[in-house]
Amino acid sequence: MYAIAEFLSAFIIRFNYFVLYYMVSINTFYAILFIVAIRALYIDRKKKRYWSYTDMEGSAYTPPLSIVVPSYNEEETIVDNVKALLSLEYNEFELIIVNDGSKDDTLGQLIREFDMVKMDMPYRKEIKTKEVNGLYLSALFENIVVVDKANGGKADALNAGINMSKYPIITSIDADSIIERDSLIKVIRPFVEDPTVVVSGGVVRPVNDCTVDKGFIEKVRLAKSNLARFQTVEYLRAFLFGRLGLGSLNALLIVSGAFGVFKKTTVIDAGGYTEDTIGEDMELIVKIHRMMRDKGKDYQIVFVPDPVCWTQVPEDTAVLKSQRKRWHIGLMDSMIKHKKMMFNPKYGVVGMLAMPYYFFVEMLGAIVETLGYLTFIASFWLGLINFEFFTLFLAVSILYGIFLSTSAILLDEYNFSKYSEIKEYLLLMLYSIIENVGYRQLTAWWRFSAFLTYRKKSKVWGDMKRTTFSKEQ
Amino acid sequence: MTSSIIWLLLTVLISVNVLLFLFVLIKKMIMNRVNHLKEPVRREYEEAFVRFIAGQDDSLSINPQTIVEKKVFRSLLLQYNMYIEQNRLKKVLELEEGQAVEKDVEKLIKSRNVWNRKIGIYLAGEYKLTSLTPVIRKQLNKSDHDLLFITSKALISLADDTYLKDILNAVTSKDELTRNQILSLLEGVRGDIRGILEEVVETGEEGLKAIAVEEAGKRQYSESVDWITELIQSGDKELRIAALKASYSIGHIENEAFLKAVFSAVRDEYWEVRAFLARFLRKVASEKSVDVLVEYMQDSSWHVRRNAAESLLHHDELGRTALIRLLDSEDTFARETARAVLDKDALSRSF
Repeated sequence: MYAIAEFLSAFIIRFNYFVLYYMVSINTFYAILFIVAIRALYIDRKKKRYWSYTDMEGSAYTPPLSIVVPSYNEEETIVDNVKALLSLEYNEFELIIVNDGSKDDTLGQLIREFDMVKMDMPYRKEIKTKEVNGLYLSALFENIVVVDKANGGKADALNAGINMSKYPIITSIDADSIIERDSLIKVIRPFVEDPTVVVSGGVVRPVNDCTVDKGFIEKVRLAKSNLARFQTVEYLRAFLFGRLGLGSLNALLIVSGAFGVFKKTTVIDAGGYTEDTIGEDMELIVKIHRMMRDKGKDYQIVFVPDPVCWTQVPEDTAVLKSQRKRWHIGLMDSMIKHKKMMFNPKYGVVGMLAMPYYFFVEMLGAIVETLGYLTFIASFWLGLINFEFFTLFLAVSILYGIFLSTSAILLDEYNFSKYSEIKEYLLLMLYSIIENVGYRQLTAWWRFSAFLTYRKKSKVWGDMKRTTFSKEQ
Repeated sequence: MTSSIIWLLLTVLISVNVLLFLFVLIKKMIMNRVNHLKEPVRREYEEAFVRFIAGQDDSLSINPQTIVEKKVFRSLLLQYNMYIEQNRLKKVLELEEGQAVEKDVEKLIKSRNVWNRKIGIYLAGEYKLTSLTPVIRKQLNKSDHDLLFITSKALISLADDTYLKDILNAVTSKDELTRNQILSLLEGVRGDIRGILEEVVETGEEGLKAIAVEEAGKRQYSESVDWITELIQSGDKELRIAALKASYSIGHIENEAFLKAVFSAVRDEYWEVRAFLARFLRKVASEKSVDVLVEYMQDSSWHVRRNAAESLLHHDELGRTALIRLLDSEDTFARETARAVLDKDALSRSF
């Protein structure tokens, strides 16, 4: 019995040291990422002052774009969203709406509103998809195509849209998301500047409680629900320095499924979106990195902080839990599928930095964090660590987290000033503090349980509760 | 020892967090106040700008004095400069604040910070500050992709085609800009540039030659017909494609040598060339072009087949008859494409 207790104590002490070094390493990495992100934002801020988007919009040489909108049971919002997409500020684009076997009246709404007529049209099936039941063209708008297909999930719907697209650049936009009028022209800028760019992604922000009219944001407001507010802080942190920092190093492994622009031939060469994963957005980016590096091609996957896509975030704990578990399983899928890239110098910064970061920090972080809480409590209870040290260490970790969040809020305010009310910024600051007590532990626990149950779960999308956007508050 | 380090860290983090919080708060308060102050000034100034642009006022009836007024003036000048006639814009720049703008822009162009230089050059082009042209021209020698593009754009905005040769030389020697960027620069030139394009076609390197012929076609220069006739037989795929793009821009012309040269590309080994030819043939109303397009409907490349089908529709009855004939084709793709194109045509006709 004594031997077991000895062994346990020794194990806990070693684990505590591990947690300590782990935290120090992560935070050092975050600090570096933060500096890289500040530099990227500085460059972006300067670029905005000498880059004319008006000229780009008017130029015949701005590449035409195919917008793929996968939709599943979106009858409440689809018409407004399509109308909004039609009035985007962009020279030449087509809209491909893929009805992925919706059980509601999504297809009917589209047919009635846009006078869609079923056509027998041959198209290139460059990526294998579930059966396409029909293709519809609009009698009112030349640039709308509706693809009606059997349900196969988001990846399959996106692949069907890519097969139908006629332009060299494609973008996928979620049907429940809203992009700002000038977002497309902004996110396409890297393709115009640099021919080696194959993917470009923009910022995603929570739209909950913003005023939306005819598919456009009329007034930006901070969400009222606590959960949505926590997520707002999280999104700012993730996009404004996590993705921006990694993007500047060409080490971005995720371009949000809600808003990403791709060179079509690259996506097709990479085999399109993967269907047997639920993190198809991350999987595609990792596949592209792998393919381009295997072929020894010059390429860039970039992140632009300015173009914004607004999306509904869950306000319900159960939905949020399912979303986070899904994200974590998607992450694990990609890490396992591409483990060959890890610490492999052949894959450059992706193999030596991005993959280890996503594996040790994003994937295993929740496990270390959850076990860390347990062993710290046990250590304290067993008298293995000093109370002062314990509380100081905890306080420093929390304060560092707050520092990262408030820095992201500061960067956001300094560069974009989306929220006009002072009260909203104060609230964001407040939520960046209180997220450390409860919310952070809850999400860590969800990710931890996703890790434990990995492979037992079937890889299907959970149902996301959609609500119509608020027209006037 | 460890505890004291952690205490120090704790103190530093608390201070940094408090500072960040205060900074955001104060910045937000100041910006809200400034925006509030800007609103009435902007309304007044915008009205004056619109009256001036519309020719209702001979001079701009505003005199910015405060920082807020100056800021509003500059942002409106940037917003409306493209709508103000050249001689009227001069009048604006002669105002006290206009001169201050010029000085500031010059300072930016001469800055050691490359980003400021780019901003300065861009603004000089937008404000049409022609006096700064010599300083800007020097920047063509610098090897920076963005700087080269911004400088070229500003020079075109300030002096139209005067420095186009220098620009094309800089672009060629540095190989910094993409083909589309060079074409978008040429888009901004309003003057007659056939002389410069001719020189490029005769002596330029292949990439630039392709750009020149494409641009000449877009501008409908008569010289482009000869260039197309010559370049379409070139061994370089890109030149043949550029020649076909130019042909598409100028459309159908009754020139036997030209058409003979274009039709010589029918069996080109590259599908890209055949696809551009199929697209061009929608503009050539002849039985021969319909025959080529019908043949192309069974091409090995999907792009060629698709362009051929679309082009056939542009041949009115002749094309429509060919498409209807293809409905009985043994080739599945040709059959289905013909049906789809005819359906699409019927749909657009019904509305």
